[in-house]
Amino acid sequence: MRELPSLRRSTVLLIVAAIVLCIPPANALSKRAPGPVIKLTSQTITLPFGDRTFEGDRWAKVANTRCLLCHSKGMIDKQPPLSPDAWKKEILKMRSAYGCPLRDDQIDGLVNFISQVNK
Amino acid sequence: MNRQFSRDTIDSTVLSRRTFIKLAGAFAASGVISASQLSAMAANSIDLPFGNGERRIVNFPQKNDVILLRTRPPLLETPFEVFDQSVFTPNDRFFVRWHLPVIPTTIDVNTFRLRVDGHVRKPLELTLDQILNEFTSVELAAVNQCSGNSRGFFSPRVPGGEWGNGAMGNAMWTGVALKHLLARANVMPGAVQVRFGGLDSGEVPETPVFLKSLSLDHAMDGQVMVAYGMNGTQLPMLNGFPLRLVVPGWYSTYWVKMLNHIEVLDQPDNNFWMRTAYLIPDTPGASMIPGEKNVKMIPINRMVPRSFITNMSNDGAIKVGHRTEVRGIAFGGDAALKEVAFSADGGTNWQPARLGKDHGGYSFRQWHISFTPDRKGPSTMMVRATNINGETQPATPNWNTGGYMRNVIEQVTVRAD
Repeated sequence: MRELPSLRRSTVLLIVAAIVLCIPPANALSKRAPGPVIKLTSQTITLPFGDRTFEGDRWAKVANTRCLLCHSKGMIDKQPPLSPDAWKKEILKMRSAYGCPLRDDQIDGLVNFISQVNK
Repeated sequence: MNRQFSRDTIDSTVLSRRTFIKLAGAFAASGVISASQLSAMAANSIDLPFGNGERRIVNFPQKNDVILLRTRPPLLETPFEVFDQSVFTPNDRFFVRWHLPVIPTTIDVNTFRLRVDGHVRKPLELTLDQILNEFTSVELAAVNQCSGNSRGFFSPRVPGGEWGNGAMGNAMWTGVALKHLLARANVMPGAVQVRFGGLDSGEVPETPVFLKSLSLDHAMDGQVMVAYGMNGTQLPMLNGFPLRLVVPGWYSTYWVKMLNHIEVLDQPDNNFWMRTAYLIPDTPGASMIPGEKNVKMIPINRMVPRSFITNMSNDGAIKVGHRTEVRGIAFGGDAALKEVAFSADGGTNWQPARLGKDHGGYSFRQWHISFTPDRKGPSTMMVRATNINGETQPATPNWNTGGYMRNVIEQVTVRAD
């Protein structure tokens, strides 16, 4: 490569350094003026899974494998006292609207179990 | 713009990040946070004033001392004392509400793309760098409130997210006007709605993807924003990093988080989250009688006025003959606040409260008033907001099956000694 006679080596190094410093870090973006400067940086978090489970007979197992498939136990045990009819409506909604994998012959047993544990 | 506010917010964010780094270190060994670790982090607990209202106060990624309602997908409530501390809600205390359990835990700012497509001439796939630098940035203070904020106070109770009054927050949002993004995509004649989707999804394929829509006119009103900044910094992951829709004056169900898809529709949106979920009675105050049948239901939409007393609580005491300062926050809903009225005698006499700094019509606004109690015994204080459209808070609570849009006049009863 032909060396440019008018630039001394140290000047070239300075220019290179300046260019490098101007490149934003790989995982950060920022806004050019005007306006408020918001810097966006890549983010990683670790979300808790919620590992509380139901205890008891086979209906506890159904609740743990079906209800807790998509949400933690707090979704159930922070509800107000609900009648079995109200629970049945919620459980059927979980199946029809959200796709909870429940068989017809599991509905009444699960309603009964949830109504008991969440009195 | 109030720069002082931004600096305060940034400071608190730095603090929370520091705390988070410490916590993250503790979690690194185990990989996931277990319930017992969450429990160990819990400083204390709180009893919200309705049945089954016991809650733990926990830390969560990028969140400090928030009320845990549900771990997965996260429902986190802002403790009410936060609203007494600042008119802007710090990011690390801001409430969190997700519908679907599969939420990305890593966002790379270099590979993230926002798609704008559908009934447009020029579909776009925008990088964050483009959104930050190729569009004019706007800033707006706006209240973000869950449709079901205060659901726990409904009587009779309704199932759902059993929030106290803390499923709301106020932030300074920075972003780009949605209309500029749509203009670049060149919306075709015949477009009727614009639909918004984010990166979250269900655990099973049958779960409907979370999508919300606005009318084209609303989307083009110049106020609806695609925000990348919240209180002067990037959004916390759980508030929708890197982009979320901001729909000033409307309930937060429309403020789609981790927004990565804007789709212009030439037919009204018929998806589950518009057609079946988040429906309110098409009645004054979205109110109906429990058990009432055949009520016409419509998608929830604009917010209504609310006001709160923030420096007094029901177990408090005041002194006869001593000047008592009462303060709080208020907002006008979908229109600017006009006045806040205060009553120290259970609603018999009302007087206007003094309003604090105006951060714009969609923001919380602080109010304060002083009075001197003249007799011993219980004193019931009430506060009532009215917006510039003359809409005010009702004296009796509304009721609906979804537990939405509560805005009854709030009251606090203290003892005068």
